[in-house]
Amino acid sequence: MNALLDRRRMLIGLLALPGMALLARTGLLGRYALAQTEPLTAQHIDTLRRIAFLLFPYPELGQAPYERVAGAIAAGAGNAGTRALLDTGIADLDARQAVTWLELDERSQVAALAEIESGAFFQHLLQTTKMVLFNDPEVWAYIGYGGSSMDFGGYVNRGLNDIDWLDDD
Amino acid sequence: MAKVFDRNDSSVVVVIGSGAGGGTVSRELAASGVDVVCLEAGGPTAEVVTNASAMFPRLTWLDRRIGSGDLPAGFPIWSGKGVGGTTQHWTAHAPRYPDYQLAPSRYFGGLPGVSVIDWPVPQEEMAHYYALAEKSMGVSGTNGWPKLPESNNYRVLAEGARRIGLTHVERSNMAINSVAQGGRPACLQLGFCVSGCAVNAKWTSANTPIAQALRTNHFELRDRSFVLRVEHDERGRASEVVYVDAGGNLQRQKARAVCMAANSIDTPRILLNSDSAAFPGGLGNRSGHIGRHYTKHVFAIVTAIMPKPVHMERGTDNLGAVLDFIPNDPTRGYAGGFVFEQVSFDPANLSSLSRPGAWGAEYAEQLRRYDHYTGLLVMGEDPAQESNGVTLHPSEKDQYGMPVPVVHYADHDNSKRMRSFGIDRARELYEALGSTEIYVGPPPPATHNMGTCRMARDANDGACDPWGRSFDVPNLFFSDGSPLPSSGTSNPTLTIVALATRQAEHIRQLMASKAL
Repeated sequence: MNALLDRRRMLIGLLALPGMALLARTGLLGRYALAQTEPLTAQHIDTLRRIAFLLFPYPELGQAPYERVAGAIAAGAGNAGTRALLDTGIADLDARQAVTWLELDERSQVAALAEIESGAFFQHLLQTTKMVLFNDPEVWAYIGYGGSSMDFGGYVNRGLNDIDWLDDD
Repeated sequence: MAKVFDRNDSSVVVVIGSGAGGGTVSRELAASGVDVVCLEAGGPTAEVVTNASAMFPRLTWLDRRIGSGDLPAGFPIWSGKGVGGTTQHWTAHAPRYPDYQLAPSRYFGGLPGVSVIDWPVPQEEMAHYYALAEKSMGVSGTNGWPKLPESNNYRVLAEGARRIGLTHVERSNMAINSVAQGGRPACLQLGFCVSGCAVNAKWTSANTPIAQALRTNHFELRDRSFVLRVEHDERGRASEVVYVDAGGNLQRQKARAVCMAANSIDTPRILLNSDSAAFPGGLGNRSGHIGRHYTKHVFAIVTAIMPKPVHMERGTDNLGAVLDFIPNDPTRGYAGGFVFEQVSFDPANLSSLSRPGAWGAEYAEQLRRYDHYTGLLVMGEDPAQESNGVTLHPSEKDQYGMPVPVVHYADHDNSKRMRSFGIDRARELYEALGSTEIYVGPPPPATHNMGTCRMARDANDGACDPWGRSFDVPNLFFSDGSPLPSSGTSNPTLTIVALATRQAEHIRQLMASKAL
């Protein structure tokens, strides 16, 4: 039990960290899942996917990258604390108006997210979305990130020093 | 055939930690015939892949530490775990301290609330050991090895600096091979330097001094050996190191001498946890200096979106440096100096470090232009303050029952003024290149951790003498960043290696004269 507590403490500690330390989180949450509960509903998954899209909307990419984000968030929901965070967070979003959050128009959806952006639920989704979406090779290609050049012998002979606009003015 | 020493063999030097300092002191001693057992808390050196997310948990010390003051509460500092320590993660930026930064009291001495002392090592001696360190580490830009080549991201920094009238811009000396040497290949410009080098073009403690020590017949490396305490005999000499082995069993290794190289956080942590009737404040801590005067660098991350592509991911992360702001100039409104160092981030890190709380269509559109981003680190000298440091948490324990360390750090007002000045100059630099989208992110958790067991001429001023030898315990040595009395504006690893090389020579002399 102590080991589990330590892992949980470590995860909680990482929640406070911007940047690189957060990279570890999604994987760790999955790996150290404490208990399996009922799977998230399809509506939950749709809500998570839509939130991920509105956080960083790239319509040209279609839905697939955002489905992968929702899947990663759902995979972390085996952790009881994370699951509770998701359940209460989505319930809160839905309870803010007469219809569910998913049924709102885009402008209203964004406004509702802005209202909760300082809360733990939103911050969890924001950090996880950044770490999953911006580690997605399809997104990398779209935003112009070259990623690993190991298979091509590095960047040493492949665009290391190829820009020509610095002498423009 | 790896050497194995008996745990009751009291003739061995025990080195705690296998990073830059621990690896170097191990190699230097073992190569001259002194038997060494090195205890590393983490596991074997992790296999490296070119993916920052995958490498972070493999290389990072994730055991609980608590930050207070201006540090992040859950992850106050960033250090490595595993054979090679933090050198698996380091950028390999390898500058010497400028001479005048060995006497920081000249420019910091008048600041309120500081505990600044000068280095007890003469400049010419530092120069001698710097030269040895550069040679043993294969530092490009020294010893006839060419510097690493210019990259797009370097040229952006250099051109921006030129346009605002700065003149001291250079490709730094890097402990990364520009040509094959030392049994390691030349750099392929993969990037990902801070995630471990997949081809070992970057010097690490694991691929050089630890590997060299293992080829002697005088060195045993025990990984997954987590040290809890150092105990002493009735004469007050360090005699035994208590650790938890890979199987979770408590073990004791007898020792002729002990070299502390567990980083500026865990070196004082272990000693503070080694209290006894003779040393009620912790082993070697009669002076009360252990765990105090913690210094790091004054940091800010500045990222900017350029008018045209940069591809900052291509090549060595941390090659370029702007040195114009190193000299002390009080007319700038602060004392001390800083540098700009070129940095790059992969998209996931960039999204968190450039504008940490931002989201939505506008930020998404910026990140879509990933290939237009560039970045720099403002990295300045931090005046030592007695109240910044490491203590043991009164009740919270880690997985081995050892008190969790609390790291406290409060920014000095001088550092705030310096950071603000540096950020303003960085903005001007990027505006001169036509950027209108310039962002300042939060300071990263420090990898440059120093000063917590500082060396001094006088026992009233520090924990150890000018060779890193404890003032209280004659066979206890400090071999990592903890004896560095001040941060300077230089990444500290080269200096740690230089001092560890010098210390090993001193230990051999003490042994030869039967003083140890």
